[in-house]
Amino acid sequence: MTRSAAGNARTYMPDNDQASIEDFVRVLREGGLDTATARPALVAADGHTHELPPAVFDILLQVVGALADGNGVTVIPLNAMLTTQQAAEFLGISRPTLVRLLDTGQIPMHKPGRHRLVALPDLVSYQEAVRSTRREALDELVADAEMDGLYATTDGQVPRIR
Amino acid sequence: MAFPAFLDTCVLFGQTLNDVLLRIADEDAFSPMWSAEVLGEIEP
Repeated sequence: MTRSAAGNARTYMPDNDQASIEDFVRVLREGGLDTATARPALVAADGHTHELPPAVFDILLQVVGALADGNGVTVIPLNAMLTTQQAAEFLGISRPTLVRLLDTGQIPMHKPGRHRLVALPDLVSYQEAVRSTRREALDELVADAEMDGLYATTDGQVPRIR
Repeated sequence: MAFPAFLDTCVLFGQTLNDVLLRIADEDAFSPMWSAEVLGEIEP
């Protein structure tokens, strides 16, 4: 597994041990939390067994699921402070775009020294707000189009206007 | 960062295709781009 570290964030990329990851996903899903008596556990190198808390099991399942699908996984502590570059990468936008969001107050920022820092929870809530606004707009678009019968009248051949 | 894709008028015109593409974009699979001219052609 390759990994890169930026500040206190670590990104893990899947590589050629794909088959073993997929096998692990299958074992986790089948063994799962549904078995009432035996809880999933981790066996340390010294042979000691440590029971996995359900939350940790969920994290593990999500991480290996993403790796098995060929996606990278970034693990960042929730209270992390990110640089503007890291924050831009987290949101998948350019740094200038992020800086504009900071300057217009759409995302709160902290400036302990010369450099601007962004708290991860602020980024997550901005991302959630954008997503829900976008989802609502799409739902509204569909409702309007259905009411106006646009699905029936606009599908198929597009009329030539030029 | 999701790659940008330009959606021309013919692509956005059909409501089913339009809906499907924007839903896929909503999942961050790509960044949909269009222009004022494109919107002008859709609603002449």
